[in-house]
Amino acid sequence: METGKTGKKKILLVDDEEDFCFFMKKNLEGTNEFQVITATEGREGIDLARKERPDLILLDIVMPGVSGVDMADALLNDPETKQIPIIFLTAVVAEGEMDGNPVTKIGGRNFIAKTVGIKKIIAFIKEVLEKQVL
Amino acid sequence: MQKFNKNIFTKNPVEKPSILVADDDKIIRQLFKRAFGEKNYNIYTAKDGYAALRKAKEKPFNLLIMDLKMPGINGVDVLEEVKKNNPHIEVIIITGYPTVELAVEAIKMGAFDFISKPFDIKRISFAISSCLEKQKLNIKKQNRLIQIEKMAAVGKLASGIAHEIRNPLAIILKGVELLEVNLSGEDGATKEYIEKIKWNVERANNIIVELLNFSRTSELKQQPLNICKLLDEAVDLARNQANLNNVTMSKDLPKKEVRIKGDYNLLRQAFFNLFINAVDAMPKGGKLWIRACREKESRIGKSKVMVVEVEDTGKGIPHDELSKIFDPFFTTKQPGKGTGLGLSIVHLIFERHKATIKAESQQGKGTKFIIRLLAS
Repeated sequence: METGKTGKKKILLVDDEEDFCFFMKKNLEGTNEFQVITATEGREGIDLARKERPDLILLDIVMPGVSGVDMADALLNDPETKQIPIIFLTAVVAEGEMDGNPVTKIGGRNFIAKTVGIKKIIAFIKEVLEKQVL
Repeated sequence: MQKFNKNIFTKNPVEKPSILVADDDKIIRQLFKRAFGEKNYNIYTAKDGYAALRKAKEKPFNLLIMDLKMPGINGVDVLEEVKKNNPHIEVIIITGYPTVELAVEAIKMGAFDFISKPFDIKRISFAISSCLEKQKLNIKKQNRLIQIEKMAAVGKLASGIAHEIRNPLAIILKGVELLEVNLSGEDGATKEYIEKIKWNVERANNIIVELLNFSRTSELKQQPLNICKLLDEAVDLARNQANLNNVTMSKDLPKKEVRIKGDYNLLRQAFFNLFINAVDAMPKGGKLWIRACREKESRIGKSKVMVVEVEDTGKGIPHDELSKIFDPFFTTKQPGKGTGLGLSIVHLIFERHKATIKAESQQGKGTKFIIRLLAS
């Protein structure tokens, strides 16, 4: 599952909560398996995705301006970025609606509740990345 | 004017209805005491209008039976004043000088009935019971409306709260998880502090999950379903918690499949909440029975009725709390043990299915929830 010069997977994290980005970046990079770039706006996220071509995008849904859903649509309509897997981060959806799972797939899209522990988040990221390779 | 804080809405449901009889004729007052005072009602008396006003201010009576012509202040004025102070009180007028005009005026002022003297005790008895029955229905209706209002308010708030609280919660959790890695070489105490913070983040998050579940119970996905299978599943889901509390669960379900129409997930959640609530009421162990059967002869509208009973041997619910158990945020559990939303979610789910749920309880013996669902 290695990529790039560093041998680490490149993850783009887009969330308007700066502190969330800060801690997530530290947690993910602390595993030595990921390199994390962050954006706090959807517009900036689209630009970074095109420029940096990350292996995976962690994307907040509710953001001011360009929302996570708008951003995902923009990336899907762009042949250069449409293959990048996206995991939506949500603070709104209840576990009950995600079939009792804090990480799940609904309608072909990946969702993860933001309050899930980092270990589960990492496991889900790896699962999505592995499927991408296949 | 000071209105009653504790009115007939919050009265203990097993308490006898209280009736104030205001008449300047001592014989009439004694007659009421003798005829009705022993068995079903608490009878109080007043010898004139002023005494009636004073007593009605001191106590939230269910019913005022009053002569129109009394010394001092007349009955119509008393009626007006008493209703201002206690809008739920019912009034029956008795008079030795009946006229159509007087009767119309009294009824317009909100009197329930108008009876002329001399009267037959059976006539009075019938008037009292139908008047109290009407009052009971009105109170039930109003309580329902209040509850619907409260629930709608909670539903509206829930999604907004979820987003606003979960974001900082997620930040706290990710920060603590980072500290956990950075401080991994520290002593056991540090690890314990971190676990405590994480546990409390989870606790706050669970409240949000419950709130969201609560607000989303309004979206029904109806389908034909086998209620016995659904109950089996809900029992299995609750079994872990029951084992931890040393609670034995017993099922008595029909062998044949019973089909009802409803939202499978929501109904399973409602029964699961009920079972967990019962298990929580038995911290030192006990028994939980889940019974289901068709109720012969009964119909809700044109549909047959399926009755499910959930009975525990827990500590029971005091009578004055029984009417509040389905209210959002009403809880008797310790902080951190319950949000007070579990049973109101249950109530809301059944209501959305046009089903009914009621609770019977005896303190020290246990509680029984009786659910009536429409069977297809």
